[in-house]
Amino acid sequence: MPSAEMTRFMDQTRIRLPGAIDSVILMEFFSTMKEFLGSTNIWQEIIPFNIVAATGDPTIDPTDFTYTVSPTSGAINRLITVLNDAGKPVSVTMATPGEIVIMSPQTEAQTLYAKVALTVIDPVAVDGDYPVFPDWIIGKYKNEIMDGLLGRMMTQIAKPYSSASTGIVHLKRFRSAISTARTEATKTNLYGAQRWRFPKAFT
Amino acid sequence: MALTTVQDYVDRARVLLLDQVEPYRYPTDDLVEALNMGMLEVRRLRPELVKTFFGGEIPDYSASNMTATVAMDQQYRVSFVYYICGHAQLRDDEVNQDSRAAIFLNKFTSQMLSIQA
Repeated sequence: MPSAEMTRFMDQTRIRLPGAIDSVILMEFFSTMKEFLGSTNIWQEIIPFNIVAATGDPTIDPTDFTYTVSPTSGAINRLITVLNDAGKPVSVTMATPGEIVIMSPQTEAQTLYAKVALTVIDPVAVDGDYPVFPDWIIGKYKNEIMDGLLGRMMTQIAKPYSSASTGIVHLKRFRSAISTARTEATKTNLYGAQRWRFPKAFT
Repeated sequence: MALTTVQDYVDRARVLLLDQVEPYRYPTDDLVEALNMGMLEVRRLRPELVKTFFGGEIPDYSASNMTATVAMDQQYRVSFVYYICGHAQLRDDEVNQDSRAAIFLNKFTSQMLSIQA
């Protein structure tokens, strides 16, 4: 069941796209969210996972160094960092989303924390085909996301709502909004914050 | 709700065709077949309206089941009435006018592709 905010979002979209049917709007809504979330990294989750001691060379045989992590919702798009209990970064790779390979032999079992950027998964038979993502995203970026959706819809050809010129305007605003959102995510929405910070103090 | 079943479409078309008294000038089989032709046209003009049937066959309605529901978005149901009328009047009959048939068929097409039609 969509939230009241999502319902209002859809109503505004329907008004601006005369002749469009809901199922097509939802299809393009999914694609818009996939692009927005994939480009901005605003939807993040820290996933703890336990590793065991392992020796060998992970670049030759990563089997003992590979761990699978799953988010509570959505799909993993990008691995931002992996930290240990001391807050220090651990050298890892993630060639396949969700499969983290520790790139150094581990002498002891411990818990690591993977910070991942998420995106929407195919909403087939989930919540009435609405893409599933945190409510705060549509609350904060409603106009920006609507620009992306309207742009994608209006650039379809031979439709009553087709308008290439208007669609391009919307898509330009959408791309600009992606850039802004990406910066805000990097600064964790702190006004005037610097992008980098010193790592935790050595112990 | 208006224009839900095959019978609804045929009834509305008969109003425009002035063919509501039996024996009908346009057989029910022919009008239902015109509806089927319209569905094929929609597959070409606006494929998303019949995306449920991608990878399979567009529904083929029959006069033997007039209560069958026609799966079509509410916005475009009236267009099919115009298509049925236009298709019926395409036949070379002394009571039919080519221009009237063309108007109906063009109205169907333009309503599929634009708003101001």
